[in-house]
Amino acid sequence: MTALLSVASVSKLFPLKEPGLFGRTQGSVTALKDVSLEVYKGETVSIVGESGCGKSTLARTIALLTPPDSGGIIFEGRDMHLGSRKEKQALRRRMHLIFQDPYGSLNPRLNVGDIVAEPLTIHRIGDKVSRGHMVSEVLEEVGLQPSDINKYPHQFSGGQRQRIAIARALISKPDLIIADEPLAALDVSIQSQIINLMLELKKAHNLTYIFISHDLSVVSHVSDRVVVMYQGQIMESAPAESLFRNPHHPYTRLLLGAAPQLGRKRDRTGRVNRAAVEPASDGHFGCPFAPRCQKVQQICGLEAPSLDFQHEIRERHAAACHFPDTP
Amino acid sequence: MTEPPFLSINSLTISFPSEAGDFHAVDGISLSIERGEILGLVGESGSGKSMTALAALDLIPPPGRVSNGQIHVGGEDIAGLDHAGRLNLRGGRIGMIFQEPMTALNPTFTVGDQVSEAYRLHTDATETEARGRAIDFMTRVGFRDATLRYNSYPHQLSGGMRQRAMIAMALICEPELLIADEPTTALDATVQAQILDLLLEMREQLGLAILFISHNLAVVSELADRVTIIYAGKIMETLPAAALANGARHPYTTGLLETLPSLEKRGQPLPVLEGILTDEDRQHAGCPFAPRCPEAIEACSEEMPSIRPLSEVHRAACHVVVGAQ
Repeated sequence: MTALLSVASVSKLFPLKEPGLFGRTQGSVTALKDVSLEVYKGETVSIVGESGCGKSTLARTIALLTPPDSGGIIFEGRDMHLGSRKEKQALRRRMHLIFQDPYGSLNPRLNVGDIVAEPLTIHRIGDKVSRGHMVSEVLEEVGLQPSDINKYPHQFSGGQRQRIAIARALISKPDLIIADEPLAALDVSIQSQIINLMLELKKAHNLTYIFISHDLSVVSHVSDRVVVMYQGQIMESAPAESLFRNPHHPYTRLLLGAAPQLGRKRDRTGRVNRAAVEPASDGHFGCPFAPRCQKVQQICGLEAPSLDFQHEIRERHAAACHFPDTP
Repeated sequence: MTEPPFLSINSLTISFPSEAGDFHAVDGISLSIERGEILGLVGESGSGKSMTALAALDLIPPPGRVSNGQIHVGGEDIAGLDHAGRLNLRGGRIGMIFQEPMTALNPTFTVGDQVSEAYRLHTDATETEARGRAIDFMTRVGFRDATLRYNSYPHQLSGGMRQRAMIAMALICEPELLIADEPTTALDATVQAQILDLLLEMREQLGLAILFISHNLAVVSELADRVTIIYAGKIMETLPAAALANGARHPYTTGLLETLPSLEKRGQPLPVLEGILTDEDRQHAGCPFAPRCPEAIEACSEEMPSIRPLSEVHRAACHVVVGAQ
């Protein structure tokens, strides 16, 4: 089986500029470093990590919003960033982004009908009448009323706005939906409604999701596979069950241990490593997690462990660590 | 005789005028916090949890007002405080930290100046004394090089360090109560864990009571001694934090717990609390949760149940759960 989407050794640096209009570039921040991953049709792959780990940059790169410095995004065998404008346009119809903030991501001056129909207009799908039909169909599917078509975003609650965003993502019948923290701004009781909707839609349309989140309980619920990132690099990649029950990378362990859990009394005897985190700059060798790692040895600072077969512990479970935890 | 609770809120109602009459953001809430206790206040947006906290500091934004009830701090009714008394309350006896430390800190002053200012406002300390004390507290909350960091501006610190600066500022006058309104919501998981640990440490060191406001049931269950769940400005249930995961009885609490995603339920549809809270739900005579409640009976839409005990430490406001007894 070939992957629907492959991220092949993608790297992205953001230059750091001196203050001022004519400030010179001094160094750069590594947003992505040699990131490779494959996403298969019908699967939900989650990308987790803390702020600044590069997960949103990766999402933007996949969605053709940010070009990579090196490497490629291969969609159904074609490198998307190399395509012509027209080809990119066609590909954009096959994938759609959903953002975190349902308040900021919908145009307040457009009514729901226009917001949801916009992808059809852009891709010149259908005429006015058929677009209308498609809009009411998709609104019903995400649990909104046909009468909502003439309302404006401010008339809806956060959960309903996220439904509008999903309807808009769904209408051009994409294969891939990239959801960047789609639940983070929602109340607990609304979160589960949207999770259920996303699971239902996945089944009904054989959708593929790339799901970006920092909330590990949500990730554990929706994912088939989980990729853990730290400072622009993949630390561990594994099927969800395997990752949560049996994490191999010390960073994954730290992350799982830090996540709050119901019914656990907090015992503050050194579960969390207090070491400060300095962002990685270029010219940095070794494992980015080494300065915080409790298992660190000399080689960790000299040579970056690769996420390759050598470190693959079980099928499709790989950790980029010189000394992975084994059960 | 047992000592009275440090903070005691009695039948508090906070009203905002609106075209359709008064809107009650908080509606008859009673709660108390003992010295050294951590009370978790859990609710969704619009539940009135932040408003309750602001009321304890007499800081309700106008045109809102306390239309009923009393708040006692250390046995004293805060409605009777004069200007000096109110100033002593805010930041002196009660410290407060917020969700977003970047907006709570002034970007044009150094962190150290802001921490020491809090002390100088409440004492006659000289600048040098205040500086020394600020450095002491910044060290206590985890600044490794506080003398150097004293001169940093907020934008030069990470989110976690900013929240630590906020905590230093809130604690520098050694208040008896810290109100923490979603202090870790904007932080990464590992940083959140550090801040929660710090709060526990500060409680041990200073004998601090904490009112911890959050929407996150897991965080509250780990940190708090007791948990109060509120919905639409009304208390639904209060119980020991240790009992939250398995001993909650109110349909709203159990409903919320069931909706939480988990690895065990991976890929399966989650139970949901159908619908959303509407303004009508808040205004009818019955329980505001009744329209969404799977267990609602007739009485629920007619009369708001009073809070009654299920055990010595567990109380709930529900016709179905308590009424049957």
